[in-house]
Amino acid sequence: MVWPFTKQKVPKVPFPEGHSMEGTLRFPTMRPEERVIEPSRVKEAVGLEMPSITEEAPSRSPFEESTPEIPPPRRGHLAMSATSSRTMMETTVPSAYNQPESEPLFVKVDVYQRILGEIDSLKKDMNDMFETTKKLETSEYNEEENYAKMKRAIRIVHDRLLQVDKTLFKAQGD
Amino acid sequence: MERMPVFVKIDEYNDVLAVVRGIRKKLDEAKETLLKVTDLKNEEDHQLEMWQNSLAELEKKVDFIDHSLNEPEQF
Repeated sequence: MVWPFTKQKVPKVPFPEGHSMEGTLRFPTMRPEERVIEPSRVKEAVGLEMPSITEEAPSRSPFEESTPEIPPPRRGHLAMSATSSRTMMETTVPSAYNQPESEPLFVKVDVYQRILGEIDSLKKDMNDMFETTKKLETSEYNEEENYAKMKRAIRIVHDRLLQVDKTLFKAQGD
Repeated sequence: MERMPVFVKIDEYNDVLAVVRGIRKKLDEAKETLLKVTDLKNEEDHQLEMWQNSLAELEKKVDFIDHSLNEPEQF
């Protein structure tokens, strides 16, 4: 008979060791390719922000081995000068999202909508800046005009002072 | 039922990246130009202040001459 409060001795059984066999299923050692861009990483993806060092980076980029060249922009797509586009092509920004040409890239709808909203806001800001530039040009023109007036006034004052000086010295001389 | 995420396919993603890089470059140039303009404006303000001081001095001297000529007994 076994006393109910005494600890029973359980025989130690070793854990089973797995044997690697060909054809057996295994968990992937690498993280899956990240194709979904989360809202917090959109800026990084488009090159506006560099990925932070503290962030847990994958040990190896899925596209490290094959770094595709960025194709030159097609005619009519970009309104940029040839030199600027050339220099732009020469600079390579490291991005973890450099997808090869063949693989399509998808962005979540909410991210896409947010990007569209940002573009709209950018357009509005650009229009505001154009308005400001116009105002500045007008103000600059007015400033120039006032400078010219002031210059004329100073010249007149100078001429009259010379006249007074001449008159006074003439009177003293006489 | 859990909502499934919907994705939008982005064509010519690299072109978009290139354009964004170009925009950033132009923005940097614009920032540099704005700094230069700000420096010029500061210099202009300084010169205007000097001009104002000179004008005030000139006015004082003209006043003195005027008073000297009009009321010589006071001087």
